[in-house]
Amino acid sequence: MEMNPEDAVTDLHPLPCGRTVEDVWDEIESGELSEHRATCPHCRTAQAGLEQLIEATQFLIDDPVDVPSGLLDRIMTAVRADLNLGRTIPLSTEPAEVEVSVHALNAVLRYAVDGTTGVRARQCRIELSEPGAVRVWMSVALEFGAGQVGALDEARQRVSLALRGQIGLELESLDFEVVDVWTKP
Amino acid sequence: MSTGEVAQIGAAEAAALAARAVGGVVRLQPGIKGLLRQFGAQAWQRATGRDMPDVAGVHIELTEIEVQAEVRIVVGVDHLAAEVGRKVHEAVVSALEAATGRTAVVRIRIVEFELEPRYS
Repeated sequence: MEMNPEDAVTDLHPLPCGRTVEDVWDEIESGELSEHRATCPHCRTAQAGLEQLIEATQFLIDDPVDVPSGLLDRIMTAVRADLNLGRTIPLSTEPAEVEVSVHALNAVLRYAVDGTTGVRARQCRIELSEPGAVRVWMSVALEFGAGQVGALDEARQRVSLALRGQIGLELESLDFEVVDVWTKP
Repeated sequence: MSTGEVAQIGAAEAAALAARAVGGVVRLQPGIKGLLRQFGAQAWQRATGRDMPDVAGVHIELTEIEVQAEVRIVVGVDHLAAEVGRKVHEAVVSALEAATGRTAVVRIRIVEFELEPRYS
């Protein structure tokens, strides 16, 4: 499959299963129940939150006062915040108790890798290996002819720097899996 | 509104103000329950005309001897998250202990990073 980084959609609210909160919303509105939504825990969690909100927003719709601007975005952001907290990693801030969402951490590491010419992050998995250090696995797509090995070295360095300089964690290991190659049109 | 609820909102407001004042905190981020509470607060504000502080993203439990708090924050990626979290923790503990006179047990959860942060 050819991948075009220009096509990246940034305004949606992605779920860990690859769908978006907006997809779930559309399905609820249309009354359809896809096979995926019937079994996917992420979609079902999003659905439960959205159903609670449908009732609450109905109250607001019936209210003669204008609906606050950006309401849908606030709802989507709140749903995503709940989903993001599925799994967290503690930071080394003792005695202060501070933890970071793994989902949010994924976004930072994918962003770091995407800053490397010729490399685009796909899926990412992060595990705490010992207090203050993590193991990372990431699938990536490479641009054909972009000097792949050198590009992955740079991406690895970016991940390590992001963890140390922006989060406060050390990188114990990072395994890349190349799952796609694209060519410039 | 009961005295307990007033005390709880007062403590939550102190925690929210303290957390927002820390550099690197882009905003506090409520989940679904927090957002519904916020809608309720807005409805209450419209009905009574009295201001309700913005405490979305802060959850407070007051007991006889201590105050427990969970604060959900969004951090700008141009700051070191662990340091921001530690400073928010310190600020919230101080604010809560001053506001309630009870021992504060605080947990900070970073729910999101703003990759291109804009601070208000």
